[in-house]
Amino acid sequence: MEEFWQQVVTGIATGSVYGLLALAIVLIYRSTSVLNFAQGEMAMLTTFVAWSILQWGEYWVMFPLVLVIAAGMGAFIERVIIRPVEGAPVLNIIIVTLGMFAILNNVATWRWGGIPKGFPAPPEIEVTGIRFMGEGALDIGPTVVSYHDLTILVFAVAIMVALYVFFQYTPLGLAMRATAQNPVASRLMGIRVGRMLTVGWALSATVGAVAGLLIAPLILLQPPMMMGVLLFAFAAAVLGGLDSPVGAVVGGLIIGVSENLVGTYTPKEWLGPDMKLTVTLLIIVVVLLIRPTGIFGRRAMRRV
Amino acid sequence: MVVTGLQIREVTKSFGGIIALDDVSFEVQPGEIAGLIGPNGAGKTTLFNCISRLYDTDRGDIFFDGHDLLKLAADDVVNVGIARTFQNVELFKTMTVIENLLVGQHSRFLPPLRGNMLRRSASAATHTFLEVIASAARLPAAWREESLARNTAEEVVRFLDLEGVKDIRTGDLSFGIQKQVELARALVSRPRMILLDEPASGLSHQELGQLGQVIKSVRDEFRVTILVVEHHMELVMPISDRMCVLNFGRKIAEGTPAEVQKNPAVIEAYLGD
Repeated sequence: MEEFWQQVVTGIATGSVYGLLALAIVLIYRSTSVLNFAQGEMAMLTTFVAWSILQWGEYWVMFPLVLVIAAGMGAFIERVIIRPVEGAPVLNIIIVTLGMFAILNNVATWRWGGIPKGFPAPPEIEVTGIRFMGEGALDIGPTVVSYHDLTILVFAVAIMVALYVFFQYTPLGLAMRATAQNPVASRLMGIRVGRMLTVGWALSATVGAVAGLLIAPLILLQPPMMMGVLLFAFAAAVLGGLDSPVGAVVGGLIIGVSENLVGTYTPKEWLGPDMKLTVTLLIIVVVLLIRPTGIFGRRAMRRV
Repeated sequence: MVVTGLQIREVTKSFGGIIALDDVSFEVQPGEIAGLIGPNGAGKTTLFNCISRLYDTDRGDIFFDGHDLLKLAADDVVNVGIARTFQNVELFKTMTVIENLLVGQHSRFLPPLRGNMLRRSASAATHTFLEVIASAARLPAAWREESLARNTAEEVVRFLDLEGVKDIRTGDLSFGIQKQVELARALVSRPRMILLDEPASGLSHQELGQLGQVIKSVRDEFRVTILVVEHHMELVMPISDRMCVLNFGRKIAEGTPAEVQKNPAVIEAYLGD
């Protein structure tokens, strides 16, 4: 039983990272109908930038800096690469994001090399005698949770709450929701639709950057590091319903936990750890057979 | 001296080979209710789309309160004081009534962009930055603005009798109520002119009976000019100060409702031959 809880908690932590990257994907998909296949590589690149900054700076100096750089990169990509193909058929845009995938990957290999690098977890912070983050592990009831897993959870929850407040309670968030739903009517409300899309990409790149910073200590920092994460994040987004931010997070958690449990409990000679990817994807297929639009997805309906 | 009201001069618009608007001119004075009528396909909605800048015209001029509308983008039209509704309702369907009315005030949150193209593109970046800051770093300020906007929304909700549905998602409301919400959303931007596109279509008999009165009270209470597209003559006749009749993209008559009613070209267009 202890092992079970252990696996669940670890699964929730990695699942949160999948959820964050899925959230980044959904943020863009909702407002522009673009499936950004380069989302993982964008996060990979910002994590490399973070590594470079860490060569001369503190972790907590690097952190906000990387978020700003990520936002700038997201805005730049939307303006320069995505804007010109905005009205193009979906397939063209997908090819463009796949192209970005390859380019960003090559840029990282060229600039930082292909040799895996270690990446630090956020350092320890003590607030009124209670320890947050850092190395080591914490005993919670029947299980042991590593401080980094806890950090991931705290960051994921904080980002989700922040995004919720942003979209629900601020004029800019409201304008972005409006743009995602009805661009034409939004323009007539005086909303600069183009700029909302730029802000959306910036926001998405920032969320992705956090996912990269959090997952890098668990897997090594190297150009193909986000490949597996991206696959699970896409699966999470589809499982939750591509237009639902809540769905993205829930989908991420389900996949994170089931990936771990399948890896642990299926007998080796039948479906061992090697098959956990297959089994996880099988679960997704079954869910989609029952609910084609995902768990939280809305069926598109139109008054006729 | 700035000429106020709406002036449409020799506007022509074609789609491929089809001429949707052919040399149409007319004016609407401030504070008037003007009816733009004509059979289906006469070009009424096309003209609306030209005014709200969803379409470019081929030829002609459109001025409102001294602004050359054809020089503006669609997202600037609300800043010169023009709001509109749509024939088939273009609300934000997963948002509540109040949220729709908050979005409707977007143009009031920040000063509008002014000046020439060069200054505009420079100010666009700072504008975005300000918008982000207002929402993130200056959260309290954003909230203050929002509570201001909320008050306006509540006022309009009370005026149009929508209090019972204000927290319901607009997609779940009946079509008639949705049309009211869209009118409310146009009003909260504090426009000087409202374009109503077929406010009667899809309404129940009872809703239809009250519509004329609602339009008149909106004009009186909010001191707006109203241009209403409609093909129900019975609705627009009694409330309009002036009417313009289109048929196949051409203006065939203009004048007071009484004059238009007697016009042989109008009678022919409506009754056919």
